[in-house]
Order: sequence, then structure tokens, then C-alpha cells
Amino acid sequence: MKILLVEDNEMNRDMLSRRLIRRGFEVVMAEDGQRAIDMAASEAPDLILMDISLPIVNGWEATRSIRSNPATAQIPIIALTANATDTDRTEALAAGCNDYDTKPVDVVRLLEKINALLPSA
Amino acid sequence: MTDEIQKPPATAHETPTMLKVLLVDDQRIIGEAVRRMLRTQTDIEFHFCQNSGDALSTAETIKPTIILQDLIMPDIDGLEMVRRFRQNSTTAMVPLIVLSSKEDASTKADSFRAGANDYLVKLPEEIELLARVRYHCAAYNLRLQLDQAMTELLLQQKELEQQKLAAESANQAKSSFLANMSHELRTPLNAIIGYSEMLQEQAEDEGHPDYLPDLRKIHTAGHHLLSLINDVLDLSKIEAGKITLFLEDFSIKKAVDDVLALTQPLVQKNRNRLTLTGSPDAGTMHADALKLRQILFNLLGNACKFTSDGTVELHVAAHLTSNGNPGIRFTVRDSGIGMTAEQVAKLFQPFSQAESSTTRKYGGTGLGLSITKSFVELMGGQVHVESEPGKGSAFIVTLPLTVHDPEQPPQS
Repeated sequence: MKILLVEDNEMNRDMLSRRLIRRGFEVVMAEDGQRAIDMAASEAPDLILMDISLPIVNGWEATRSIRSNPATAQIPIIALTANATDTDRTEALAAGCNDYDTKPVDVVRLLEKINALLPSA
Repeated sequence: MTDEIQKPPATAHETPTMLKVLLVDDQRIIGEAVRRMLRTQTDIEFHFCQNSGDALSTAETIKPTIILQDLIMPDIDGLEMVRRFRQNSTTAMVPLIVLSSKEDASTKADSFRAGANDYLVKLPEEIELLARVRYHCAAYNLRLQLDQAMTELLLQQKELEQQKLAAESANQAKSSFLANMSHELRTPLNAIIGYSEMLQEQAEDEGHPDYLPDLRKIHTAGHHLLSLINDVLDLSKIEAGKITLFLEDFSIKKAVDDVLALTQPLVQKNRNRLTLTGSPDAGTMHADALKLRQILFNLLGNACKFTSDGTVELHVAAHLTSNGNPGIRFTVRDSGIGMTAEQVAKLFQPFSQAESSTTRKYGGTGLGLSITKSFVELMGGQVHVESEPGKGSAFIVTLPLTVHDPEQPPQS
């Protein structure tokens, strides 16, 4: 299973990718919203973990763009943000995210959400 | 000194001011007569002008308290003189008495229409002149004082408004600083928590169990710091009025079970016993589930923190709200250290724990209850406290079963 991890903070990217790899996922990474849109098409991941406060194109816009491209529209997206506000929750769902989680990531909880969205292999 | 008696009593705060009488009359003999009448009055300063040209410039210079104006003058109509005094900004409000040898009604009427305040037939008795002069001067001086007081009041009001605006903007700046600061603090903290968690996994997998206790301490301390930062962030949002409700239907039992599971480590820490009583299978409620959990977690966390080798009870019961709607009551009761009435009184204020020594001993930001109360009230509920030192405390939260968004009017 291939996960596209979109995260601008280097340490968060490193930490989360290593923990996902340890659990057997293949992880590809994007550092900004534009790269995320490009890689969603070129890498065809099974799921996207999308940070929200991103440079160039933010997570909401990137999500909308991915949803509007028929080739990538069906990829499950989980929004990740440091702000545990209700506005974020509402916005994440409005932008087309399938689910939402807050940082710091609780890996057990995140894995539950990932597995719920992945096609059963 | 009989003339002293005639003066108005000077009040303590006002400095006695000279009354400046300006007489405009072409006849020197009248001037002398009036001067003589006023001579004994130590607080009256007498000025005399014989022609219209001098009269206005003198008035502008001396700023008279009262003007006595003759009607028949060689160079100008006395009534025209009255009108000019009225149009002049210095003398527009100064009391003006027309002094005239005429006594007919139409002359008097013309004088008053031109702007005179009073009318005396020449030459009045000294006592009448003095009485009228003093009466009008007193009224005029009172008016000046009132005007000044009003001006000062308006100025103060303006200053207060500016100070209020400045305070509001400073408070706004503080809130946004706290929000930004908290956000910035969370990013490196995420790394600390994440890497320590990852190292724990690796230590377990790769056979280094001796590292685990220390790694857990880093992880626990990181989470503690995170919860403090989250409290500050919550409070800054509450203060900035930026907290919104996310209303959904959820099972009360599920919410309670989730919170109890989270509370378990805190219960064990001080060797307490946690019980769930009442009717926790109370069905569903429509509210902000996350905030309800935070409310219960805060109260249970506090109960566990301030109780050792005792009991902590969560009681759930149906309840009727004050306007008769179905509601629910959560009571968190502990057998802990309790509080005095004074401590209870300031319990819900931000940054106040019962005592600063409490903070040292028990930790925390002192923000939890302030946040709890704000959340409860945002959802249309109430929180009460019953406590006795040494015997424990009970926090009672009542909420409507169906919460309405305060920003949107309830649908009927």
C-alpha cells in the first residue's frame, strides 16, 4: 500500500514516514501543496495524508484540486493539522477530505483511520 | 461691612472672581452715577464706554460679566448695539441689561427682541441695580462653570473611550499572540512526542527494554506540556470569542466510556477507585462531543489529582433544564482535599488555582476549570461546585440534551 505523505516540516515528515514504513507501508513524500497535486497524479498513491498549513498551495486547495482531477478524485485523503479546531474539522470535510486527525499524530489512532479508508487487500 | 452680606457665598472650591460691569452710555453723568452706586462693592470692577466703537473692543478685551447698554446714543441706535453684542462671540452669552429713560412697552419689547436679558429705567435705585447685576452675574458665572464642567466631562469621556479602545486592542493582540505562540510551540513538541514514541517502538522491537522507562518519561512530559499549551490556546480562543461548536448526535455512554478510559492512568496514579453510577445509558445527545469529553476529562482529572487513596465517582442522571427541556446531569464527586468557600469563589477564574502552593504541589496551568466553565456555558449549560475542606468536592454539570448553536437561532 502506497501512502503519499504531504508535510512541510522536515522532522514531522521524517518521523511519520519512518513509522509508517516500519508498519509496512510504502511512503512517498511531498513538501508543498503543488507537489502534492503533481504526485497524486504521477505516483497514484492508495491514500494521502495531507498537512493543512503548507507553502505554495495550502492543504485545502490541494485537496480540492486533487478531487477535481478525475484521475485522482477517488484517492482517500486524511487531513492532518496542528489546530484541533472545529472550523478545521468542518473545513477538512468541506474540502473533500475523507477524514481528519490532529497532530501530534497518535499512530494507533491514525492507523485505524488509514485502514478504514484503504481498500481491503 | 454690609456689602459683604450681599455677595453670594463662595463655595470652597471656587476662587472668588471679580464681576466686570461694562456700561455703554454716551452721558458721562450716567457713568459717574453708576460708578458711585458700585463703588462700595469690592468684587465689582467697573468699566465705562461712551461710544459704540470703544464698546465692542473694550468688551473683547475685558470680557465683561455683564453689560449695561443705553438705548439712545449719538453715533448708533442702542438696539443695534445690543444686536452687535449678541453677534460677537465674546459677548453673545453675556447678560445684557438695557438702561433707558423710556418706559413704554414697545421699547421694552424691542429691547428684548434685540437680545436684552433685562430692562431698567434710568436711573434705577442702587439697591435695584445691584440686585439685578448680581442676579444676572451669578446666573452667567454658573453657566460658565457648567459649560466648563461639561467640556471637561466630554474630554474625559473621549479619553476613556480611547483608553477602552487601546485596552481592547491590547487584549486582542494578547489573544492572537497566545494563539500564534501556542501554534509555534506545538510544532517542535510534535517532533519530541513522535520521536520518543518511535524510539519506544524500536526499543521494544530491538530488545532494549532498559531504555523504555526513560523514553516513556520523555513521552509523558511531552504530552503534559502539550496539554498545557492546548489549554492556553483554548483560553486565548475563548477570550477572543473564536470558539465555535461542532454539534452532532452521539451516544452518551460512548462518550463517558471514552473519557473513563482516558482517565484510568490518572486514577491509578494516586491509588484512587473510580466508579460510574446513575444511568450512563442515557441515550444520545446533540452537542459538541469533543467539548463534552474535554469537560468531563478536566473534572475527572482534577478529582484524581486532588484525591489520594480515595474515591472518584462519575454520576450520570436525567435532568430538566430551567426552562423545562430534557437535559443531563454529570456529577464528578471525589473524597479529596476539598476547598474553602473563598477558594470555591475564585475557582473558575483563569490562572487561579486555590493557592500558588497548590500549583507547585499538583501542577497544572489553572486554566482547566475556566475552560470547562466556558465550554459548558457555550453549550447552554451550567456548572456548580459543592466542597468542604478535607471532605472532598463535587462538580455538577447540567447540559440540555439538545444543544443549539449560540451563533444560529434555534429552529422551532
